[in-house]
Amino acid sequence: MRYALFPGCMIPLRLPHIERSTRMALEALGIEILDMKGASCCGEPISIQSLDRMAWLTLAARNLCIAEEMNTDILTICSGCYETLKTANFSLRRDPNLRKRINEKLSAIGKEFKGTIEVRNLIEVLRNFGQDKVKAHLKRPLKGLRVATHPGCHLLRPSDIIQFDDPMRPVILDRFTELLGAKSIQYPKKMLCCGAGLRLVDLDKANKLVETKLSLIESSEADCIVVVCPYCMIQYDLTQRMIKREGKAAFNIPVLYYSELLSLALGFSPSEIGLRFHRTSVEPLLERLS
Amino acid sequence: MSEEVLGGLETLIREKVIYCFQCGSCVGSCPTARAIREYNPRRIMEELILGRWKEVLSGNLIWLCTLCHTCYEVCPQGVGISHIIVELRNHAAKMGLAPTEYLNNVKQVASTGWTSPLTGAVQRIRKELGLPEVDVGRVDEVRKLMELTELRRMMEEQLS
Ligand code: SF4
Ligand code: SF4
Repeated sequence: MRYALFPGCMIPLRLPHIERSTRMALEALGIEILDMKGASCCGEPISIQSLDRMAWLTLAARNLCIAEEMNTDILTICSGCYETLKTANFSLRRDPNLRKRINEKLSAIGKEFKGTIEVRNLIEVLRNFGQDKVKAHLKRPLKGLRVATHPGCHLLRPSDIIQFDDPMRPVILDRFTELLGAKSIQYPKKMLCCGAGLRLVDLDKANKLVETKLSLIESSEADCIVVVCPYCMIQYDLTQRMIKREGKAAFNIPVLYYSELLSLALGFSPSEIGLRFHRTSVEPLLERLS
Repeated sequence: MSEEVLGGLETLIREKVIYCFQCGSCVGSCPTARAIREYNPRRIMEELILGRWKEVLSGNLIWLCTLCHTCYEVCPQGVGISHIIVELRNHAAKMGLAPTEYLNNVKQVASTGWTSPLTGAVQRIRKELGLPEVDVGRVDEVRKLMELTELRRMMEEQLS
């Protein structure tokens, strides 16, 4: 199995430790990762889509073309990139008119969208690899760990395009959390958006949303939160520290990206995967695991 | 309001918005409505149906949606609010009403190909973690494509 890794902007430039654990975990499983030479920002689902949807799809299509040239499916590790690339792939395949208009633009840089590859998310790649095979590689199952999963919005919706899991009652991330030996706990308002999409225009209100979620998760006595998107990661991890500093509330809930949880279960040490770069301490979680 | 924007809005309302029967399911599930009292997606649809387009486009409410697509899933009429919000934003942006924060993102992508700057600190951390250098190889292609879209005009206006 091999995939073209599309890490996006946020992970390589702001949360590189997530890229590290992803690469290490996949390598340990024997899933080959190729880098996409010349890739750029997916197209950006919030600002660029909102300014000009056509530009959004065109930039996305350029990235798709790079993977087509490599003849390899894409693995995206950011849900924003996932929505963007998947929407472009879906829409250009379905709508010959749109495809023609975008290919006209792409011809200016010598590219053409053909629609020959698929766009996958991390959990989907692991599912295709095989649940049992992942399990067979685990060296340190996370017994007794209580995990609050936050699947987030763009891993699931709009469901007619994404077609990954139930858009309002998803189960796949929970299943893959339990596969690692942990317990995926239920908590109220699990499907409420973390508010990342509001950060740019109204940081206060974005924080208000994540505060709501944090207090519900805290009452459910979770040992950690697990996310699959760098925007959700920043919302939970960085904001926790921000609101603590402002003296508003004091949450201490470690936040892990799924590849980090997987890496721990695969036997990697916290320092190897750069857990020290988290803004909210992961110590309580590590103590729980030791 | 330009002919182009007006025509686009009329089509949008005739083909999609008009099916909204004002049940309010979207509001009940909307994260922004939970955080910001004045925000109400049902009311935005109502305003459009009532022809108050100008107010909708020039107000700041349409920029508060997180694009979480929950309304898209729960609407019994398949109105597709989140996609309508995107179209409304596209029209407002053409009229020069986009938030500066969004335009700044475009500028950043045009300069490095990515939405975040490539700082020395990040480069050091990547090295420490044994990660490959960040690729800024073909930003010329990105810029060229941007110039072939509406983004070009928006950036020029922003700079002038
Ligand atoms: S859920 Fe759909 S039909 Fe109901 S108010 Fe919202 S847009 Fe209108
Ligand atoms: S997409 Fe926007 S309007 Fe719809 S539920 Fe989410 S925040 Fe509310």
